[in-house]
Amino acid sequence: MTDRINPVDKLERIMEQLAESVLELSDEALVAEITESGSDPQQEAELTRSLLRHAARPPELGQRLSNVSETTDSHYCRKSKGLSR
Amino acid sequence: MYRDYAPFEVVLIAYGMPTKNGVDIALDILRHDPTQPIIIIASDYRSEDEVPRRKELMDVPFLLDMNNSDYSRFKEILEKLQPWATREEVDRAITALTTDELLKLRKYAEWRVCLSRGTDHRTGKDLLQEALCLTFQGAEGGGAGKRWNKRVTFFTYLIGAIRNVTRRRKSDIDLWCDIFECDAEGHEHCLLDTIESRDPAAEQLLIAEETVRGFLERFKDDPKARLLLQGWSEGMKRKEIMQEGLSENEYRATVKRIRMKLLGPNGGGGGEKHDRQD
Repeated sequence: MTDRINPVDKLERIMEQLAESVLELSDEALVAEITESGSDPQQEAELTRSLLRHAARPPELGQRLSNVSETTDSHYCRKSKGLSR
Repeated sequence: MYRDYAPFEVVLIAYGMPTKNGVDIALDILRHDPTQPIIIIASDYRSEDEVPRRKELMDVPFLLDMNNSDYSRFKEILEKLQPWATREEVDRAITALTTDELLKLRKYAEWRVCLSRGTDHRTGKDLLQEALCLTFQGAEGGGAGKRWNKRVTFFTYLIGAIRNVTRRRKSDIDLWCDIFECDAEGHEHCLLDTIESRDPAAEQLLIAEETVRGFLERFKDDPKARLLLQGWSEGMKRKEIMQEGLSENEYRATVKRIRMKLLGPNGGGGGEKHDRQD
């Protein structure tokens, strides 16, 4: 039966389970996991907040806030600055 | 029943019911949750003015006919009753997100993006920003984007928005970490960028197969992790996998090992690693 499952479906199911498992983590376990992976949870959290704030800015503020994308460097930031890959 | 399953986006109540009056039910619900949107259907009346109503229900909209002529009015009322967030409220909600919520959003997006990385090699950060951009489009009105219904928390809404975006793009799954490789000079590149595309569907199958095999190979000395990966790939639920001989703690610890190995600092995860090329 296993072999009849499409490999794309198999991969999707694995990734789906891994993603959803993050939501089952307690706050303490999540912080511990992030620390264990060598990151600073507080810094990670604040970076995420600036990323969200950056996405939230009205387009006319884009230029003034362009330096934010240097720290939150994502494809979306680059696209908004016309720097797509 | 309302107490067991509330809150609802809207509750529809028939004005005249055999055992209990719809007005009494509406009053009970409002006593329980004064913010619960309610619509009362009074199909025995020809005009709204004829329907006897209590002063506590003056703000509750009444509808005369759900089936025909009143349908557009029903949609209009439904729209007005939903507590959609404004742009300013979304801004405030971002500020109010706790450290734990932010970390969970970040991690969740990093994993979910693996389901929809796409040909532009999206990252978890891209996904988070996309969910937010859609939310702001939604808050502008006009039918575009996604709207945050304030009856759920902003965090719950964002998780749903991220899940929704990636489910919509599941066919983009083909780009996962293991299809990045290093050339002789140590530069990473995506295998798909160099594949001569003759049959994308067949390539996608091949890459997915190789990726799953690669996952299992990485855990060749960890039978519990292999059990989980295999179980998940076959669509088994947590309980079913645990029946194969894993305790709750073992299950949890194994999931963590898999997460850390696949997307940890040395796990060769997709987005961050690929980002560094730029």
